[in-house]
Amino acid sequence: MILTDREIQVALATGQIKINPTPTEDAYSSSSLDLSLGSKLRIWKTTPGGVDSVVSPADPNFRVLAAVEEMAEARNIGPNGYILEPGSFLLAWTAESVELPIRSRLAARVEGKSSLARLGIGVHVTAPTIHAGFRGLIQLEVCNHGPLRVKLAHRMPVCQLIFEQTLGTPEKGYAGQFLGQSGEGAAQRSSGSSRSRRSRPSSRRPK
Amino acid sequence: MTRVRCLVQEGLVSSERIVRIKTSEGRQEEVAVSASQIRGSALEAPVIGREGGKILIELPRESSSGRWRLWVNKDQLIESA
Repeated sequence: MILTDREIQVALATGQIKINPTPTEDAYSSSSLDLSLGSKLRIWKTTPGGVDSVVSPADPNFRVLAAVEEMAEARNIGPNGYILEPGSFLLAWTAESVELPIRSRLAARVEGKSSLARLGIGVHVTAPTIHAGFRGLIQLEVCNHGPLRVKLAHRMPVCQLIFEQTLGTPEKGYAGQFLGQSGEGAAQRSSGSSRSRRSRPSSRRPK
Repeated sequence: MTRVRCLVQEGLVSSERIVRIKTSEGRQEEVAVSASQIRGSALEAPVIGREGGKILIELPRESSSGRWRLWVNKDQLIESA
């Protein structure tokens, strides 16, 4: 079930969703909330002609973040903005920090905005899920699929969050619940295999 | 909240850190997390399951290798009430 603007505001007021800085009134639509573009960018360096470079994500020694450090230039969006050339791709982050507390029974999807989409700008590459329990800035994978040069500006509305109710609380929402307890429940937690957690009675579930 | 011992490095943005966690198979798993999820040299990581001396934890975000859950040795864990 998707939250409407009213439900998002209630969730913010009750701490079920935490966003910093707090969104302004004009950031809402009927069923989503806009987030804005932070100032930090990471721009993948182009490979010089004649150089054949291959990335192997399946290699156990592959470190994608180290690769970003080494192969993606860190830039700040200045007062004149940053021009995203046709066909170019970069990493960016939202200006707002988002938290979906694990017991709020909420997850979200980050999606693009039609105003940018019609220019060819995508803000994620098939990874839109903001999982229950998430905390931090949302990383965006920004690509210019269109033919135009597009100027990105710090604090421009760049993406929208669609909040959805989860059915139940995820497993990690129960972690630590039985610490310090004795009895059957605690014994199950401490000596049972990972499979045994599936048999936990639903009556133990918190709201 | 339980925490897992990790190596902590600066992240790609100031509010993030990159951490490395040793799995029970001896692999180093890398994940970018919010700095607020780290205390000292340990990352918040709820326990999902236990098997012998191994603990199944869930990471706050997907690791570089695409994993959310890791088996770690019990001595990697810091449990607090």
